[in-house]
Amino acid sequence: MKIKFALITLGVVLGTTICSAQTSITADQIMDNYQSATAIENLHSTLAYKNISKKGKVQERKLEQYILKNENGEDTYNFLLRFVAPNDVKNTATLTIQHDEKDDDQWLYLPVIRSAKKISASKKSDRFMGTEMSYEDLSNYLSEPIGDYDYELVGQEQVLDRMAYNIIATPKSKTKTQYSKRELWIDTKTYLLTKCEFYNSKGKLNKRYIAKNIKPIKGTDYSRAHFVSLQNLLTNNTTEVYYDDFSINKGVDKSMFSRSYIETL
Amino acid sequence: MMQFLRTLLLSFSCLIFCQTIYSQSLKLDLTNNFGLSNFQYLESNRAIKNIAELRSEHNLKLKYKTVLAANFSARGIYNYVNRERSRMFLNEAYLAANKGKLNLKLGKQIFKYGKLTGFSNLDLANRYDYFDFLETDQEELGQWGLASKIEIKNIQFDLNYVHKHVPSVVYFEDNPWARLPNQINHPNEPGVVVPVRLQDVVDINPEENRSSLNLGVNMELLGVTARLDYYNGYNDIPFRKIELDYFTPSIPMLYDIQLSVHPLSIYNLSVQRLYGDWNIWVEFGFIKNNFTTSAESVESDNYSVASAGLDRLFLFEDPAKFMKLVVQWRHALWNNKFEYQATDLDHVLDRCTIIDLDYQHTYDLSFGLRSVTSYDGFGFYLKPSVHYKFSDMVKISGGYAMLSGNDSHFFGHYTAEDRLTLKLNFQI
Repeated sequence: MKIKFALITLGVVLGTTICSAQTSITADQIMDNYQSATAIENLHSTLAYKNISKKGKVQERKLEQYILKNENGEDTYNFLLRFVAPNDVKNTATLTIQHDEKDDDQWLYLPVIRSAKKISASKKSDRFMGTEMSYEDLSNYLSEPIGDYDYELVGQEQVLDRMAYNIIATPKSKTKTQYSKRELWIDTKTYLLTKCEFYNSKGKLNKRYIAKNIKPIKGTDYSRAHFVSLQNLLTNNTTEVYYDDFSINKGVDKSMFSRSYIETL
Repeated sequence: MMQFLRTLLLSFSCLIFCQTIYSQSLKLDLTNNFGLSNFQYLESNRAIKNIAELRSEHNLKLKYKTVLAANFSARGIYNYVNRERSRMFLNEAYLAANKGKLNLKLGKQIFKYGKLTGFSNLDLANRYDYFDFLETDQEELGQWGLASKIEIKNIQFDLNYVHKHVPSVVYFEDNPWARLPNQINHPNEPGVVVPVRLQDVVDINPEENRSSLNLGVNMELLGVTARLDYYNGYNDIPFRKIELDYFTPSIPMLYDIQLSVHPLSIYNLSVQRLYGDWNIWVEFGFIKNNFTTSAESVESDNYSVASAGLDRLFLFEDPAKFMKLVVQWRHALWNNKFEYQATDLDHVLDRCTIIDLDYQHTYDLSFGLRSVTSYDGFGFYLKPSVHYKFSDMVKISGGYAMLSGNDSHFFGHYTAEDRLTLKLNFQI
């Protein structure tokens, strides 16, 4: 009886400790962990995306992505996307160089004109390459702009089959963004984003992001979602992205992130 | 037809070759494109009413990491009207190397000198197969040489060297654009008109050592991209001279077309800037060309061309829909010493406005519209087109090319070339 009582007491004490440890974590700590989980020096993967219009029409593209941290800011990246299929867009490439202090530079290489052309990346709300992902989403995907938002932890929720911290991200007054707020769900184990809801400037729910199939990347401490969907709830268009062959911090050639290189692809 | 079959055989050989190489962990990429095109001319009173063509293109790229690549591109054409056009050839075969910010391409390759979204003065030097003068997008021809680029901070330097300049391919027989004379004034007997017939086309200086050089500097400063180019080489379009054959007695008299290649230099400056979603550019070029006078002597012809243009991509709520627009205005400042003929290809786009519009309505259906309006010696070209993708591999395109204007301008001179075009493409 004494043993049973002792075990119950131990259980209660341990349970209380674990619960208090879980609830004592702050939104800022979660966001720091999220940033650490996504912070990379370089990354290469293949991906395939499907654009599904509200009428059910589907467009598929296969690409390779190369990401390399650059020295233009604290968390800024060079980002090269190269289309590999279908044939009519094969070898088309976009090169994005992120900057902290000014607009990102972006070039588009079209094999037909055999030349890279500088394109406008100044409108953050524009769709990136015809997907539902905007330039701002892309930028946030590469690195969460922690300094530009206030984060509030509102609880924990099950997202699909995983527990996640539910956080409200509200832009600071000086932050230039198309969103009035974002609601984030950060996986409690991997600290990756499993769900996000984007509210437009009028406060209306605009887009919903879902990440699934989170798996560890071989030979690293990183995990990555291998499937992502982004649904525009105002237009009912959806982009689905399937990732594969992740290689993280295994080295990406710096010379790839130049206009000259994409012109010789 | 045999050539087309040979091209097919080549593509299958490439596939087998690729399988072998792939097992050795080299990255490779093979693209095969097969096409069937048909031009249906609308004017009933003409010799060539229909031109059909089979075409295949095969591109093989072997890549070793990011530092080395080999690119081979073969093209096979079977034209039902023109035997000279029907051939199979290696259009590109080059090695590409990347080291830091230095990129080199050595071998047979396509040199496209102009970098504008529209028509650049430098495009005068590009080499094409001119079986058709209006549709040249897939007709670029390779030349042996070296292309190099190096980037230093915001400045990119380009150096292109063609070891032996080869002119564009032009056709004088079995081609709707060829207007050969069937009678001419006898050069030694004034007032006497003699019936004539083409005997041969002869390149009179084929062995000349003709190299060309292009130097370009591209820099970005305060959001403005400026590019300065110098091209020193040869005109891609050879001069034509009719030479009667006095030694072969024949009625009609026989004549040869003598082709000769002449120097061309271009000094070009272009400046472009993004204003929101609009890309706006201006270009100014000084062109040192040559001109064949009516006395068939070659004289230097220097002139300038100023150009301004804009382009923009329009996006819509439906992600399948987008529209690309390019508008360009070109104005040549001629030296007024010469009167250019309607058939002088170098001057077709001297004083004109060009509008290019592409609108994708759904992922499968898109429309195009190209118009060129020459405001000097009025000429007008309009081509609406529609494109439908059955799948990512199969695409069909149809269009109607319409030419009109004064006989003194290229488009007006060739009004009989109005035609319907139909193209079927299959890619694997």
